[in-house]
Amino acid sequence: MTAEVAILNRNAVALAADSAVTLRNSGGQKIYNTANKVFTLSKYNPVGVMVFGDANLMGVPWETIIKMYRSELGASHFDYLEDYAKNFLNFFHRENLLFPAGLQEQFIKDYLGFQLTQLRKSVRDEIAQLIVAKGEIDEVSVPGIVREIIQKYVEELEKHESLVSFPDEAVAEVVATYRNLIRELLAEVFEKLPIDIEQMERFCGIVIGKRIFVDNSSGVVIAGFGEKDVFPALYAYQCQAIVANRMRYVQTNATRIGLTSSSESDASIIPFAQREMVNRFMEGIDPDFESETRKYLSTLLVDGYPDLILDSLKGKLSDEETNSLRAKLAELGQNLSREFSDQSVAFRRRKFVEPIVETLAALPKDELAAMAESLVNLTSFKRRVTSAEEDTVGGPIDVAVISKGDGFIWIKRKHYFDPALNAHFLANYFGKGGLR
Amino acid sequence: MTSEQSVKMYRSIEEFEEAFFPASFHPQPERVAERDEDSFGEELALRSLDKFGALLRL
Repeated sequence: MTAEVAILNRNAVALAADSAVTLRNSGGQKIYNTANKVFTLSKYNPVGVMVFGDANLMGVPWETIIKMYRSELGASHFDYLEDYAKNFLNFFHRENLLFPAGLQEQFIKDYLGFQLTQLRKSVRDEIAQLIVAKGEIDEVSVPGIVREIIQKYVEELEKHESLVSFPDEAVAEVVATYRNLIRELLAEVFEKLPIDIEQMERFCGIVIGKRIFVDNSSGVVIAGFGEKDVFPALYAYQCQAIVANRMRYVQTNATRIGLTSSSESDASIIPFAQREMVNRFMEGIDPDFESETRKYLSTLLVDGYPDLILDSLKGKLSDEETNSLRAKLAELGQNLSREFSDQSVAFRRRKFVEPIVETLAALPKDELAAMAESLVNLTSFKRRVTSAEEDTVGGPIDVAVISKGDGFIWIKRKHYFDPALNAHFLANYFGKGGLR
Repeated sequence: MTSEQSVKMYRSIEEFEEAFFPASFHPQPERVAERDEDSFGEELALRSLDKFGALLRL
């Protein structure tokens, strides 16, 4: 796991990340503290990128992807940071060396294979329940039953958010491109089950084009300045795979620092991956503890307390009066629970968040860096001394500050080699076509 | 033969699976090996997804 923090104010954006990487294999897992998670996205312009989650995208290390993109980007620049982010995500919208067609097809095969196998399992379980409930089903009704069950899943999945990179026509194109593969998968997974091929193609299109991510995905955070950005911005994405030369991704954060717009803020602290310590620091309470407290209080007020009152009135009220009073007390309990929640949020904001953000807005660049490093360090330290948690956050902390005038500045950066022995590396850093 | 007799009834999920998922219901040893090659089935598909990156996590 990872702890990453981005802190933005009008001066700059500071990025900090730990170095832990977890290698899982059949024998268990090992943790190394040598991973690089912060990179420059451009060698010439003030834009940085952090990654977390899976270290690879479809088997290709993010470091390689970023450095190949950076090499191609060269000295080109964009007006706004969001344009850098879009350009990076569109980097794969063509034939490319990183993700050849065969690799993308293999991914589709495995991904759809997994989703279809899950669907088959669900269909099988529902039919098992139906047989138990009715005692038997006949073969004539099987196609209709199967269709109805699958339709239910299709309609449920259709409610998921659509991926920006997969508009309807792109999804149709993917399904058409891989039609033969899909038919083969359907035959293999569903064997002799009478399925509606058109409905199944629709299902495949949905799991490709909607926000449905299996476990594996990576977080990508892009921060800095475009040419016309006076203040920094940050965009974060969850990325899963390249399908038909399109990235399956969703935007998870968009923060702009500014002076006027209501969508812009004075300053912001944004944690990624392991976020709980930053949340505790910012809000004065652990998010899990807060959520449990809220749930418990709600249960007490909506169910527990009304039950106690009604028990004490047993025998004194008719059934109708009891039910009416229960409904009223539950409603009151809901209102009180909501009020507690609102008050709690307001108090946390006033007492903890606002004082920090007010100071943060005026912090100089070096203090931003120190704060970002401290917050990552806090997460790492907490995990190190907590028995129930593994040291999946740790190692040296890389810290960078990006400002409009100075560009991307490393405050702390580990190297896996001795720079004194590798003068050529630094000398060639801006060399034409270099991937460093 | 009456029409009632000709309609197959399934009274257990095992009967249903045997009829509609015969390959999974009666897996052949060579078939299992073939699936292993193909990285298929729920567990195999997950393992296959793993090879696309879940093994190394930041």
